[in-house]
Amino acid sequence: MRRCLTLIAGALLAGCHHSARADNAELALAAAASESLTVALADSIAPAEGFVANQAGGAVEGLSACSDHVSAAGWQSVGSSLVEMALPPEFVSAGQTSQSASWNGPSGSIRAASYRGDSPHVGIYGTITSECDIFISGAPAHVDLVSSYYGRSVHVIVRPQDAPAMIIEGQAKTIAGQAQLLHAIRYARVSAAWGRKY
Amino acid sequence: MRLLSIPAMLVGIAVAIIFFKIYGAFTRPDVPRPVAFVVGKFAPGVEIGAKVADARRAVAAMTYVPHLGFVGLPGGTGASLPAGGYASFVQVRLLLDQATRVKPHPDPAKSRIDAVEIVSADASASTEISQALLMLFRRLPRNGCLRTSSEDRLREVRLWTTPNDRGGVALISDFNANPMTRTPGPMITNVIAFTGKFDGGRTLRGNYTDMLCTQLSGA
Repeated sequence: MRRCLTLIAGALLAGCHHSARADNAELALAAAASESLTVALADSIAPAEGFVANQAGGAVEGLSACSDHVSAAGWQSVGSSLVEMALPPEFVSAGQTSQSASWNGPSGSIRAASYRGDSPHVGIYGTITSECDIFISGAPAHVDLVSSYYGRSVHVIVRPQDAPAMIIEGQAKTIAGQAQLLHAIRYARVSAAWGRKY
Repeated sequence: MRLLSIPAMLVGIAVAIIFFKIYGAFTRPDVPRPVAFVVGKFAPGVEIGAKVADARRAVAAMTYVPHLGFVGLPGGTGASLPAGGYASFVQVRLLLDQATRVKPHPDPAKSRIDAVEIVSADASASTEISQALLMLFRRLPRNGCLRTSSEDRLREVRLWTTPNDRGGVALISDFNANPMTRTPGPMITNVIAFTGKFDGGRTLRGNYTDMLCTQLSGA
């Protein structure tokens, strides 16, 4: 009788132990599924919208490097060996070489050049009010909005996969001008000639 | 005579208490009101305890993720929050219980929604939803941490439960040991609404610990 009871108790314990192990294994699978889904979601959002890296300033200073609400209706297309983009109609070319290009307009200026630095913040003078990591022309890019004594600027480092990194810098007098330059840079295309000519 | 009326009154009170206890047990909703409110606000058309098929119109592009549940896009674009806040949601997950989620192809018409998870990629979602839950539950959250497969990536858990542990809402956000440095990648915030007693990792479908992430990271 005692042996019989011991056997039954043993079988029950073994069953419970096996069930707990299976339960934990299934829970681990559920955790892995949940985590991989969250990671996949984050990966899919980053290229589509960009994500805020840092935001400073209150509502008045609230232009975000990730936002874009500017209409480019009536803008002109400009091109160079580095980038092609749409700019407000008053902007005219201020010179081009194989390594740089710039345009000037009544509300500001914009310049593109090759970039050799590792940090995206080299050469920034002023306060970074907002940062955003986005994709420009399919390449990862870091955007900084800068406010300084001289005005407002947009400082962008683009790192194409098969071509050297470049900096696109816009200088504006007002927030509206800064927003226009941000829009122009956001939708710029890295020239096909850029990687080949370098 | 007056002495006899005291026991009668006590018996009357006892009967009334028992009656209301039984009445309450039979009439109380399956899903606690704050939990149902969060689900209704953040994922309109989705209900905990309902069949997955019933939520088809409220969840677009629904697909089944083995060992987890059905995942899709929420019907609403977002939810207005107290103090002028707003949170938009990019994904809704209809979480299944263990018995159902082990099946390779569970039938949506027979599978019940065990818990609902809503995901936001808004940078301010964690703060704003946290404030909304504080106001809704009127109590401070219990804090914990989720470990992930990556050692340096922890997720902060803030948990609100109903007073009698009939359900709750967990707010999960990326943990950053040093708030002065930026977190790589978008800031993902998950809200899990559940019924029943909170059971750690089983409820959250993750590697949960009651320790704070600051303790785990050694910060």
